[in-house]
Amino acid sequence: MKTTFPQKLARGAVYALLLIVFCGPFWGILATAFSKTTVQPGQLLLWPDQPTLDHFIYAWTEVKAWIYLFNSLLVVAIGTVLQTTVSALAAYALARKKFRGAAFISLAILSTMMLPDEVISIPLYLILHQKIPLLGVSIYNSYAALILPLVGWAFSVFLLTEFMKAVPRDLEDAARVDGANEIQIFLKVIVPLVKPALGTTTIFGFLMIWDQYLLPLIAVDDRSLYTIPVVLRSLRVDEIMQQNIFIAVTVIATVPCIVVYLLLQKQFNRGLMSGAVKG
Amino acid sequence: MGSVSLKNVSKSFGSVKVIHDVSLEIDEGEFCVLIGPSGSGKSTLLRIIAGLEDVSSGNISIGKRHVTDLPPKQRDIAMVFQTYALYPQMTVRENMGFALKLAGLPKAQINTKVTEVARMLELDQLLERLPKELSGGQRQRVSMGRAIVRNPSVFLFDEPLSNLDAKLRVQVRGEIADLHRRLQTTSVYVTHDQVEAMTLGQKIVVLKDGRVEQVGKPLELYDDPVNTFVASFLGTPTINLIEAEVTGLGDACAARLPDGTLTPLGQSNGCTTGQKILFGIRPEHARLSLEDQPGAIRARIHAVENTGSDMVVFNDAEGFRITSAFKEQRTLEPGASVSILPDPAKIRIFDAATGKRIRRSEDA
Ligand SMILES: Nc1ncnc2c1ncn2[C@@H]1O[C@H](COP(=O)(O)OP(=O)(O)OP(=O)(O)O)[C@@H](O)[C@H]1O
Ligand SMILES: [Mg+2]
Repeated sequence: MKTTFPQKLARGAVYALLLIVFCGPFWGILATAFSKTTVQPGQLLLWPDQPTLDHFIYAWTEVKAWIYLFNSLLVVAIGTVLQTTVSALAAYALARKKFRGAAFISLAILSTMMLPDEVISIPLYLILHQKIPLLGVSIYNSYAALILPLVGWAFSVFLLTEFMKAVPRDLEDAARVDGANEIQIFLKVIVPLVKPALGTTTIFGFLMIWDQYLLPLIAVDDRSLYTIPVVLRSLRVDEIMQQNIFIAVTVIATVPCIVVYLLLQKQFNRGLMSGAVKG
Repeated sequence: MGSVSLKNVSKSFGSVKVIHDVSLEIDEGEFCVLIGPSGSGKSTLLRIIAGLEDVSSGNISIGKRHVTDLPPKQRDIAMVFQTYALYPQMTVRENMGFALKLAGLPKAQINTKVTEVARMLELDQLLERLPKELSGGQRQRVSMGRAIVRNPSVFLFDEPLSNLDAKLRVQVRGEIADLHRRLQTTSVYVTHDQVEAMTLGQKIVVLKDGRVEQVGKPLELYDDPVNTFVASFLGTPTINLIEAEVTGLGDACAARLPDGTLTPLGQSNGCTTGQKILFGIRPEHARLSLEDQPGAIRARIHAVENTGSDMVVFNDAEGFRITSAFKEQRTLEPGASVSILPDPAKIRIFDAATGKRIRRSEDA
C-alpha cells in the first residue's frame, strides 16, 4: 500500500505529539537539573539556562545521594535475583509437580495480588519486628527487611507458571530418559525455554523493587538505610532544599532504570510478544 | 544384556485402571511391536518400561536387573518420542550429545560419538542447526540419533513415524529395520499402524483396553488369531467375518451362511450343531470367479478398488457382504454376478458370542 503525502504528514504529527507527551517531562527534568537558574517547586525549565553540574555535585556530596543510590542498587540487585529465582522455582512446582494442596497454594499466592500494600503495612510492620527464634533479633532496620518482603511476587510466579505449562512434557521426559535430574531438567530444559518470560519478570521485578516507597518507610527508620524513593520524598517536602537539587536526585534515581531497560530490552520485547501470541 | 521382562504389570491413574496384568517377555536383540487401537495403553506400557510412569503392581526387569523402582536414567534405555522432543534451544550436536554430557563423558569423546552417529544417519551436514531449522524427517532422524549415540540396552519408540508423510514413513521404516539389523539392540516399538507392525516386528503384542490379546510372530497372528479382535486388527483389507450357524453335513461339520450356502468346516472336533459362529475368511483367501462354482457363495459386485498392484472387490451376497482381494488384473464391473469360494484351509471360525477362536482339527 502506498502512503500519500498527507498520510505521511498526519502520521508524523501523531508521532511528534506522542514524543512530546512522553519525552517532554524527561526533557524538562534534564534541562532543570543541568541549569543554574533555580525554579520553584512544581516548575520545570523547558530550556537549559547557564549549564552547570552544581546540582549534581551538591546532591552527591551534601545530600549524599550516593548512599541512597547504593542502598537502592543493593536492594534491587539482591531483591531481583532472589525474586526471580523464587518465582521461577515456585512456578515450576505449580506448573509441573503434583502435590497435596497445590490448588490452595496457588490460590493463596493469587490472593496476595488483591491486597493493596497499605492493607498489609501494619501486619508487615509487626512481622518485621518479630524476633527470630534462636537469634533473638528482628530483621527490622536492616537490608533484609528491605529485601525479603519482596522476594515472593505473585505476578512473576503466575506469568512464569503459564509459560512453564506451555513447555511440552515430552521434553522433560526426554531429559529424564537422557539422565537429567530434577535440577538439571529445570536449569537446562525449562529455564532456557522460558527465557523471554524471565526477561519480562526480571524487568518488572526490578521496577517494582526500585519503586518501593511504603516498604522502606515501614522496614527501616535509620536514615542511612533509606532508598532513593524515600529520600526523594523527604527532599520534596524539605523547605530549604532547592528544587533543582531535588530534580538532580530524580535524574540519578532514573538512570539505573533506563540502563536496565536498555540492557534487557531485547528480552523484554520478546517476552511481551511471546506472551501475546501464546495460547 | 537387553532382554525385557514384564511380570503381572498393572497401572491405574487414580481409580481408572489402564493396564491390566500384563506379562511379557522380550528377548535380547528382539524387535517387539506393541500395537492396538488408540487408548489401548501402548504408550503407557512403553513409559512404564522407560520408568516415566511407575507401576501400580508387578515387576519389570531389563537384562537381569530388576528395574521396577529405578528411575529412567538407571535403566539403560533410550526413547524416541512421537513428537521427537528435541530440545529447541540446543543444536543438533548438543541434542545428540546431551545424555553423554550429563553422564560426564569428556568433550572429545562426545564429539567422536556424535559425529560417528551423525554420519551413519546422514546428519553430519546439519550438526550446527537448531531443531526449528530442520524438516520433519530430519528431526525424526535426530531424535533417533540421540537415542543411538547412547548405545543403550533397549530402544523404546513411541509411534516415531506418525508425523511423517506416507512416502517418508515407508523410507524411514526401512531405515529403522536396517538399523536394527546392524545394531541388534532390543527394541520396543509402539504403533497403531499394522503395516509397520507386520514389517518391523519380530514379535507383535496386540493390546486392547490395557490387556494383551495375543503375542506372536507377525504371520502367526495373521494366520492364527485367537479372537476376532486380533483377526480384524491385522490385515488390510480386513478379514470377512460372517455370521453363520454350525450344521451337520454328512459325518462332518459345515457352516450355514445367511444366504443358505453350506461351507464345509471339515472334521471339527468341537462342532456343535446349531452353534452361532463368525465365519472368518481373509479377502485374499476368498476366490472370486465369474463362472458358477459348486458350493460357492453367489454375490453381486458392489464396488471395485484397483491400486494397480492389487484389486479389492466388495460384493453383496444375500444377507451379508464379502470382500475378495487378488493380485491379477481382471475386468470387473459393479453389478456383475460372481461366485466366491473360500479356501477351506484358510477358514477361521470364532464363537459369535465371545469372539473367541474355535479351533478346528484342520487348523493345527
Ligand atoms: N496421565 C494420565 N492420567 C490419566 N489417564 C491417563 C494418563 N495417561 C494415559 N491415560 C489413559 O490411559 C489410557 C491409555 O493411554 P495411552 O496413552 O497409553 O494409549 P495409547 O495406546 O498410547 O493411545 P494412542 O494410540 O492414542 O497414543 C487412556 O484411556 C488414557 O486416557
Ligand atoms: Mg500413545
